[in-house]
Amino acid sequence: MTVIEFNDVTKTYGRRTVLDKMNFSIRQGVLTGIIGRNGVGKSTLMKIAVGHIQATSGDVRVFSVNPFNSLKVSANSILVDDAMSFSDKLTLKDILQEAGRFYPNWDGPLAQRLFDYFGFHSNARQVDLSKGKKSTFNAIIGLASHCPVTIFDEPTTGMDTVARKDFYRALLKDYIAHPRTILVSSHHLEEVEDLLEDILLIHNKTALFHGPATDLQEMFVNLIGKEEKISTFIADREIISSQINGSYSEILVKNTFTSDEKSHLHTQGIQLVPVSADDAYVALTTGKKGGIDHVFNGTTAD
Amino acid sequence: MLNMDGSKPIYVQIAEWIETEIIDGTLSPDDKVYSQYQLAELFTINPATAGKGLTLLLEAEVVYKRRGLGMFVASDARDKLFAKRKEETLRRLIRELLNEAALLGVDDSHLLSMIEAERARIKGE
Amino acid sequence: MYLTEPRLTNIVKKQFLHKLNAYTGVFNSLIVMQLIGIFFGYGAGSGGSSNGGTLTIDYRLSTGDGPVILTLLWAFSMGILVTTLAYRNDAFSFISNRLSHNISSILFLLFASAIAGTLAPLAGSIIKFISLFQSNPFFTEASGLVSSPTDFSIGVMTSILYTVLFASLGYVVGSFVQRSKFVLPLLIAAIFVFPLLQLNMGGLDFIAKIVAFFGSETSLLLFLMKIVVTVSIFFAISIRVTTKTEVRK
Repeated sequence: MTVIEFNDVTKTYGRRTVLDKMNFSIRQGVLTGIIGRNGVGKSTLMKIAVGHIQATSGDVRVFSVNPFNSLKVSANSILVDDAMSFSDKLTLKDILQEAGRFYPNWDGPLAQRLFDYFGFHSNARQVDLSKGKKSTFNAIIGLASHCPVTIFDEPTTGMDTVARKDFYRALLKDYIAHPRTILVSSHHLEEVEDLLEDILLIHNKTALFHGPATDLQEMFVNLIGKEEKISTFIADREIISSQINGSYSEILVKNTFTSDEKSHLHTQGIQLVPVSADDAYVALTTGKKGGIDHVFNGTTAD
Repeated sequence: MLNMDGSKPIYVQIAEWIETEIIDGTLSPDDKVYSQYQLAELFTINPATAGKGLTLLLEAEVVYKRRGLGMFVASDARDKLFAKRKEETLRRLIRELLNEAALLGVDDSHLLSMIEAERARIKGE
Repeated sequence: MYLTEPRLTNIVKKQFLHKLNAYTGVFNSLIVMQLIGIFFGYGAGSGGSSNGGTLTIDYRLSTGDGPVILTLLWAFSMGILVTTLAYRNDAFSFISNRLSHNISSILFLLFASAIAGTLAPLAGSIIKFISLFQSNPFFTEASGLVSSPTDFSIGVMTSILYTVLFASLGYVVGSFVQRSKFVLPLLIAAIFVFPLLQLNMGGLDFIAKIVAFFGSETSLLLFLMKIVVTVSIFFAISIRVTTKTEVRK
């Protein structure tokens, strides 16, 4: 069942287009990573999904309704981001209590255990917390609300390494215990890739890739071997990056080899080395490039 | 444990980790294999990815499924894995060995004598 | 998947209770304003003496208007305050849409106005009470709580209604300001330019008419109706102009 659906969604601020005819749909219960470089519209997409802002054009459906001004979407979703703020008249303890009054699936005991684990003080105020602590506190609310659609926008901003690891582990454990649709955005793919089932990769204002994280990884492969042997295989292929170490070359190409071709490569002493999802992401978003070596080769040749 | 920084897809690493558990006898025939959720918790990975690893083993008939109960180690799992590793891992190593030998101009009889010498050294240790 | 089907009334109720907890700063500023009102109200009294041959009358007029005027100012600024982005962002950290946020904010304004409107005449009475002790009075207060409870309760009623009126005026102004950043400079310009330009064309007359529309009404029931209709229009306009506002941008 589809929970979130974007059809030709465009969002503009004045003359600046942030999302351009974006299309995708998120299935129920899938933990999806919204990945993209800084400023590609990840946050905009998330704010539209929970109804905080409105699409300029196109059709947005969450639980089959337009999220903007929908009380149903608001009650069944939560967006944890930098802009999540609470009255400075409320203590952290008050805020947890208020969250419990609002969200029907609120897990009070979990919230309290996380609150204690991360060493928060009941009488502190959200505005007085450090950046990392504020992120952690907001994340606790996001986890404990158990909303059918739970969205985290760069949730670990400012957190130290230990807190980041703890948060992602908590997220995974809670997701396993209470399966629900979760979106997590990050520009550090390597930090979240193992957690994700699907990746929605945003680039140039649109969805460049949407599918299983492992599929993204397997889109590319590194060929390592003698340069003269490799060159015969890659003559008509798009080279994403290449690196030359002595007589050996390391060439990143699209993984479109048939099994026959693969065994042929093996016999020629050329290794096919899988790339990390992060490398694939970089390859996909930087497009065709000769790598840093070509920058230098280019200047001497011209 | 898994080689998390490696570039091998994580579900392949999961499958290989379970294979090793079977080969070294930690898991015996008809033992219950970890569920995808147990694996997910164990390695902090998405349950769907862990499920993919199990599917690889299921397709290779290293494990079998009992409806509602989970996955179990096939009776001939070890034999299959031995055959598979012989076919894949050992062959790859031999190919690398031959490539290196050709590069250095080491002929077959020389190579064989080197293997014998190495075996003797291991026994002596 | 279990989905919640929220009812507007239920969410509004939760938000109203939330605002009672979260907007306590509003009440602190009310107390400060009324104390200032008492202070100035007491100082602002006028006195004099008339001499009729053998009889000399010393009189002192004390007014209880200071707290009321400051309460109205407070109500106006509170109306603006609750429409600001910070307050709306806070609301959308929990379950909300624009309508529920508006309704619960309006309910909060009515509640706060009721308290402030009741306290204002009481603060006025304090001024008179202090005056009473300082002089040796022959005549004391008019329409006080003790001397004339009916008049006093009408006074409270009127005070509440005026407070609500000013709060709703602040709310509608705040809503327009939130709608567009050009509204604020226009509004300030209008306040200064409008009376100047229209001085000869009845501009001040227009304002005087508005004041008279409420101030000269002698029937409490009609006054009540005038306020209710005006306030409803203000709130309806506010809800209308903020229905598309974006939050947590």
